[in-house]
Amino acid sequence: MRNKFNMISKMYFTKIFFALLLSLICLLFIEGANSLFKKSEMHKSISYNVISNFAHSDNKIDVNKYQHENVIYDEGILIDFIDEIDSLNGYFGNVSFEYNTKNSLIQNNGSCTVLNKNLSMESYFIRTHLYNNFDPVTIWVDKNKMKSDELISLLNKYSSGKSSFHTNQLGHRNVTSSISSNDVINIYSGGGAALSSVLSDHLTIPSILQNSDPDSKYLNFSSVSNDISNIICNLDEQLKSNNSKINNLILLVSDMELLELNEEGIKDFIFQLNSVKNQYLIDNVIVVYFPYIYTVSPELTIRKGGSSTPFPDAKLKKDILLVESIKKNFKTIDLTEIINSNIIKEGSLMNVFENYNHHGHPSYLLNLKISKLLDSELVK
Amino acid sequence: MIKKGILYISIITIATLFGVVIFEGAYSISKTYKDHTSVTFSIFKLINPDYNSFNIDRNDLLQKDSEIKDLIPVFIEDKIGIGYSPYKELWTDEVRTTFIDENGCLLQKANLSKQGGYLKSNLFYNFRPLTFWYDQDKILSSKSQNFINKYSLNTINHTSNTNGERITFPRIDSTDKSLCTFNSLNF
Repeated sequence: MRNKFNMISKMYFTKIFFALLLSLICLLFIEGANSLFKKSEMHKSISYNVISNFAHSDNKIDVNKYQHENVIYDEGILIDFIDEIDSLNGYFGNVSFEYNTKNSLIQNNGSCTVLNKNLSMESYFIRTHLYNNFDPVTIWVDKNKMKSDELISLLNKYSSGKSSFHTNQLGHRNVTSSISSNDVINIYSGGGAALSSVLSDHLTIPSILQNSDPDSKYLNFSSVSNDISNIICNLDEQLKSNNSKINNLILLVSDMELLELNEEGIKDFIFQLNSVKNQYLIDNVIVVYFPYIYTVSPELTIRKGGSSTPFPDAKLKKDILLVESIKKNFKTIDLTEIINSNIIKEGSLMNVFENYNHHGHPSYLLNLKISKLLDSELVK
Repeated sequence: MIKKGILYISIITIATLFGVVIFEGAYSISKTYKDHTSVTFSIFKLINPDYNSFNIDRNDLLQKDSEIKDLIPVFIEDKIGIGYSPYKELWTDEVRTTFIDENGCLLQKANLSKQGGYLKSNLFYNFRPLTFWYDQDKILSSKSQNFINKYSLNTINHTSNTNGERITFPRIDSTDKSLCTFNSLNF
């Protein structure tokens, strides 16, 4: 009897042992294959990723003693609010998870992507290390809709301040002035960097210019799209209905708008801009080049061992942009020089951050500097 | 015979590959929450440093290990210290601005007259830039000088008095003095 019991327990023990061994080998094989598959990409083991997900959800295990109370480490915290953000006519910016909500700032009017009319939105930068460190998550909601207590508490805990975003009945981002047909106006335009959507209206370049120059009128024609053809299309659409004389057209061009363009594309863009200038009898065009943070400060922002740089030929494209602009007698401002000269003056590479609201939007401080530079280039 | 040979080679190859994958798995788990790349890739990168690397279009940015590695003997000769690099031979007791006394205290050397600054590079630690230090009265070789001219962000002076205290400007003659002390933050 005892022998039989021993034999059975030995058999089960052997089976369990081999099952465990096989599981361990499988686990190691999967981990190893994953690690090899990732090649040069830095990664964590799958097992620890799974453990950290559980640990975050029940808060029982402190998986990372360096975690900060006001920083989101678990994507689930954001995902839980998808439905509410959607119901508030809002959306998440710069997240990797998939959901159906569309960017509620824009629409396609049949010809181009334009800003929606009469928007009254507020945006929040969310403190998280989940995605791109230099392109923080944003949450957008309609200012006039009621937020739940849970969402208010999330925003209070994890956001680093809010900004306001309004558009008028024409879909222009608000600049505090009304225009009559007798006014001489100045147009400010560009893509996402020019729009600076996560800076409040009064901190944007045309608002700053308007405040310092009450005798002139400034209109903000920038749009969310970084597609050059859309920027030209937008400009053309808006100018068609304009009856006022235009003194200045300021166009802020960033690396993102130049990314998909080759040399011919950039030349063609400047050609089109010149056509707009001639067609609408614009006195003065100022092209402002704004580099993404990766271009101006690869020391801090591009990780050694990475497989790419975001804008590999930014300098070359910038040179073409500025040379072609000068050929058409446009005035030019290269913000790389402005940002770099301040870094050198301060003797600190970290100084670059004061110029950025996120990786591709200028900060209020830089907007002040740009406005000052523009002031001396404007035809008045 | 040939069939047997092919069979053996196949078995050995599969077993080796299997072993490598298992080893990589164990290594990955051993790293716990830390980011890492596979050992195989690290070895491959060691043999082919230029594999998968990209060049940023900036002449004043130190991007290649080799540029600093090749100059190590020149820097040693010129007594140039390079801080925050993995090359320990460039951060010797001789070039450091500090020393440890007999009581184990880290102190600043007396009568320092150094010139230093940051180097523009994305080679090592993004938020802890490379630094360079050398004696102000030292005439550097052209190789060192060119390297510093090309890659330095700035140049600062760093001097200490006979007590090893960093010199304050303007000099104070008053008998009433405020003492400023703490660690490198205050320094």
